Amino acid sequence: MIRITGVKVHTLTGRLRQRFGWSVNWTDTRTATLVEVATDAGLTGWGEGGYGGERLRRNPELVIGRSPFEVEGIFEDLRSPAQAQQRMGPPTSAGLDVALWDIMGQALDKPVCRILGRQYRQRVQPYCTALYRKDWPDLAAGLAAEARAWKAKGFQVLKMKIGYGPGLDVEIVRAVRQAIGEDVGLAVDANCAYDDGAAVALGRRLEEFNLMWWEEPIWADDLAGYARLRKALKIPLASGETMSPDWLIKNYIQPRLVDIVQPDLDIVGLTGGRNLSHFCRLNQVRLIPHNWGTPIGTAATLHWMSCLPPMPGPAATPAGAFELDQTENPLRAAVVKQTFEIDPLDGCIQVPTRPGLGIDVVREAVQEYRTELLTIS
Amino acid sequence: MKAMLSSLSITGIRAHRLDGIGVTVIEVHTGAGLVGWGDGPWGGEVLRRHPGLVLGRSPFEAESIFDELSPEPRGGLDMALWDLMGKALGKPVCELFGKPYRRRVLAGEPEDYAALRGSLRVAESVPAAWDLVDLLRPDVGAVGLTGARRISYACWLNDVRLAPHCAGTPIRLAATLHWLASVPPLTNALNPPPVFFEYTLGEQSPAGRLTKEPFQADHSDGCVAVPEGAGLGVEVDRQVLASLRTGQITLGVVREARA
Repeated sequence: MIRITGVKVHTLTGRLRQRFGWSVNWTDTRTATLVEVATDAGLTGWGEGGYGGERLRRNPELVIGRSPFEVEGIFEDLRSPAQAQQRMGPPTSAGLDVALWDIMGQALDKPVCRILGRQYRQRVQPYCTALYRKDWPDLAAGLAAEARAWKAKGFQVLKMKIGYGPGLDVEIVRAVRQAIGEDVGLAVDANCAYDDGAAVALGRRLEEFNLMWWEEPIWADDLAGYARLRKALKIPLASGETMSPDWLIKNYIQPRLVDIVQPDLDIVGLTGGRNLSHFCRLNQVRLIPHNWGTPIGTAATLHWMSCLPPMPGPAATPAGAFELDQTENPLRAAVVKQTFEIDPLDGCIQVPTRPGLGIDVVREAVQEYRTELLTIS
Repeated sequence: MKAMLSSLSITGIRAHRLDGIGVTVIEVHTGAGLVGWGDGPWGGEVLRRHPGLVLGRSPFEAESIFDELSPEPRGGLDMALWDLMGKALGKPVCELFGKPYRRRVLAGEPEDYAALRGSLRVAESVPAAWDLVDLLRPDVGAVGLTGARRISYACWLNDVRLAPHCAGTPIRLAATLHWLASVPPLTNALNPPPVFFEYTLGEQSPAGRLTKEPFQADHSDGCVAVPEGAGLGVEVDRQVLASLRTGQITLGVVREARA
């Protein structure tokens, strides 16, 4: 029977030609954590995100020697155990988890979506993440020109950064909305720049721009703040990219505190992601994943979204929407042979059809960009 | 190994009606000669019209099949697919289903439930609001193992005790044991609220003769061991099955076994 023989964690860093910024920082590099899992059957799986951390380094037998088909048990074993006043901790091995799903699919000669759940769709419509701030003399004019270019590429929904202060935020959202017209969806993301009082005041001024959602207006764990915003504003609220599946279900989904949850596979894994899909459907909360990495994460997200149950109601967002990052990232075109570009005709991407995640990792590129390598065997 | 897993394909389903004891036993055949067993509904109404929803597919598509047959009752078929997955991998179902926290599970008597009903808020199916329930008792024959896993996680997150109902054959009992092996302890105490199920399979029950394993609770601790064999870890006695059978339906190709 197939057994896991080793885990490699590759930390990659790529330098940007031009720095970009958002409400709380600027960057001139992009990074990624890739998890590679080897087996004695010659199959190799890849994922992106957590690998189990110190718990796995100290207890390699929690993974090494086990079958990749023990994916649920491995996911659970790499949580920190219950102790003293705290229940069992959040999952820590999301990237490893995705790699195990990749291996299972390859062993069964099936794309991951076929074994993950019912496939509701084979084409998924992403939204475009771009429109950060750059070293432009006029931010509003720079963003408006960039937004026109993304619309011309065929994207049906764009997301822009805000959180630079209420006056500038209103100015740049107005400029982008005017540039793209009313037939393209627009969302804004403040990266937790405001407190709830400031967010209510700004939100009322943003209501006229017909926004699809406002992402992270305030700290993700300010639950009372989100409750206040939900009552005060007409704009749908979105958050959750750094939170565990347990936390999202308890604090956002079951209480219906936000309109859209945005989990990232590099934290929740496909095992946690599948659970989130069911809870979102049962509680009628929209799920639009965060996705900020290499095409490994994008491929895994496509398989996950293939299996997301549709929400009832003609006004619901296209159920399969997810984030497609279009900012500069040298890793994106290098580490995976396949690229994921939208079809300009419908703004959609096809779910990969080959076994496993359906991608080929380029080892030479992984080596070229690697700044750290951890091996567990 | 890879060739065997990737070529595993369901060729036929047989539903045995055992009206005398009120159960349906499901037998699922694959081209590789592996046979999976379940006890409960099998989506027959839909499958007779659309056999392609299951025939020709891999048992590893169980999650997909489960949701494609929804809302048709299908717990027995789902159980048989899990049995097949375990057998194909040479592993007991509990090791594929989740993290096995225990290898012995407490068998509760119906009187224990009656006592709990006096002190706890008990529900038979998933509630509209979790804070209305202290203890949930679904039956794996109704919810399938695929549904059971979703319920386990929801119960753990909401601090609701799981104590499944289990009415049927030892096949269903085995599925319940594999399920409960993976239910996380409710607290970290040395003696946390016990994980248990309602044990109705008395020594004299005719359904109890259906498998070669007796599944009797140990008198010393009241527990039943989780089967260790591959899949559900039960072996059906075809002679007993034939003697209890009152009717059968076959879809696709089922290789006749010596009775």
